[in-house]
Amino acid sequence: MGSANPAAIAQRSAHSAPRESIEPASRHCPGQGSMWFFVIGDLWIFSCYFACYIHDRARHPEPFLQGQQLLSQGIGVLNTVILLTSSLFVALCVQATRAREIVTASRFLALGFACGAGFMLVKGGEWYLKIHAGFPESTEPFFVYYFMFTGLHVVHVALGLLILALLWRELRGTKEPRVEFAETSATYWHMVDLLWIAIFALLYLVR
Amino acid sequence: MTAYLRGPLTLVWMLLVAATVVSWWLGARGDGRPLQVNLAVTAGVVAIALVKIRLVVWHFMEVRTAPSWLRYNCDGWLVFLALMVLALYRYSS
Amino acid sequence: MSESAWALGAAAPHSATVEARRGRSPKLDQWICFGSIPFFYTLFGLIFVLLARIMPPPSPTASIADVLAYMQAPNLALGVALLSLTLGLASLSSGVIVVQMKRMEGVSPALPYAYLAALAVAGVPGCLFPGLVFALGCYRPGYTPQIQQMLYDLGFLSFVGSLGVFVIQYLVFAIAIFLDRRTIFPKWLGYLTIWALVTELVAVPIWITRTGPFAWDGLLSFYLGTIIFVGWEFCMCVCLYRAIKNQPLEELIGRGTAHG
Repeated sequence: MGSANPAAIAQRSAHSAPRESIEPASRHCPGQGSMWFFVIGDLWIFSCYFACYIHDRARHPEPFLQGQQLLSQGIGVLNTVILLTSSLFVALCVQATRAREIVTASRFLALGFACGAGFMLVKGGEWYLKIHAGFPESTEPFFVYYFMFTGLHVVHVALGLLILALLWRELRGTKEPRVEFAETSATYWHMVDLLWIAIFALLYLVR
Repeated sequence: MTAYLRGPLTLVWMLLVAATVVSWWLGARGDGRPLQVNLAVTAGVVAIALVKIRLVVWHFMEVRTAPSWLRYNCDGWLVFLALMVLALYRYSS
Repeated sequence: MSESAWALGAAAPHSATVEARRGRSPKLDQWICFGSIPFFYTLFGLIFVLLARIMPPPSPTASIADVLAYMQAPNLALGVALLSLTLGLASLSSGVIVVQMKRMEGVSPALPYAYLAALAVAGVPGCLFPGLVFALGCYRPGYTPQIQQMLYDLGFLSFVGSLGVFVIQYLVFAIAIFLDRRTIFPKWLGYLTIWALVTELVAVPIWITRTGPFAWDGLLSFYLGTIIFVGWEFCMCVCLYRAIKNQPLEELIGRGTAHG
């Protein structure tokens, strides 16, 4: 992937990173196929959950509307932006790994990890506040969905942080970090981001 | 690092954040008024979420440069999800 | 035994390849255990679905009359009696899975044992305990309706809600598959296991809600998880079959080979 001499690297980073070295070569499946198998299947499983939610909601909107009123959309937006930013950093990490700029890649990875951890903190805070404030029993159907969806999602985020930690070990600990490993880990992380976009829309915004 | 941050992915990120703000504005609650069922708002929010997810899949997940089977699977799932959500929302009662 | 005879025995170890040449299947023990799996699950299906009607579960909000009718049904009594006799068969499948897990390279030997322990513990609230609870309801008809209601609730909450240990079992298995450098089990089975894990977690709300998709008879808490579990078990059987079949004879444990 290009020369390793400092002059070339300096020149590369002086302008935008050249397209050829950071983008995949041709029709290329990013990461291991088995991870895509998992991602697509997981998305279908979540689709079943979403279908159930919308169906229940459309049949009896009242408890859902009342419950939704008690959620803070602002916190939801904050979480969305945090996760989108972490996704950006992880995607940039993959590009840097491809260009063999491992130090840059690990910096991006650290930033992405930090955002992911930040998401979990904000989510934990939101839960704490919600449980502390309590909610009327009439809104129970909504809140069961709320805690289930966000809970399942948080489990995915935790797993994602573990995977990112393994990627860190690959980047820093091995002589030749595998690009495929970075792509596979990133695919999982972006799935987590994608799920949150859907959950945020369905729980916080949809009427 | 800044070279990467000046790349196309950052533009995608800005679009995503902007889309988030737009959907927030769309779904925003009025001042203390109780929420009402609203198909237009829901459809708008779902459409924006669809666009956002597609941006993430296409650019962050690099499906744009992926083999056709993957592209069709991702797009197919996305369209199916959006249609299913809207159909269930409209016709479940 | 005389020294020379002992030395003779040590010089010609009873290896698996020798046995194979003599026409005996050296993996017979594993195949018997493997064969117990479809047998056990067919029995399980018969007992839980047809006889005891524990699956699919009746409603948590059933009236006292319905609850009593369910608990006193003679087919339930027969079903749980059979269950208490046959549940032990599940140990055979755990045993053969652990044998294959121990072949994995790069995986701590603690993981197969953790799997074994997790499944052994999970089987109690997940299967045996509900059986005993329902048996109590059947065979002691003199209890008051309130107590029968409690037994009914306890049985189903235990059966559907005992997810914690199953989650650990799945997690341990998935981690082992991903760490394994020899791919004894394929990676996609690891991912399938993660799905089973996730759908298992969705059973959490059954302790709180009694209606809707998150009740113990709910679409999400029961049906989705069960469907994924059945799919997982089927794929597990296929992968286990291939793992046993592809296991080189030299690796067989307890045949006087180097692995001993």
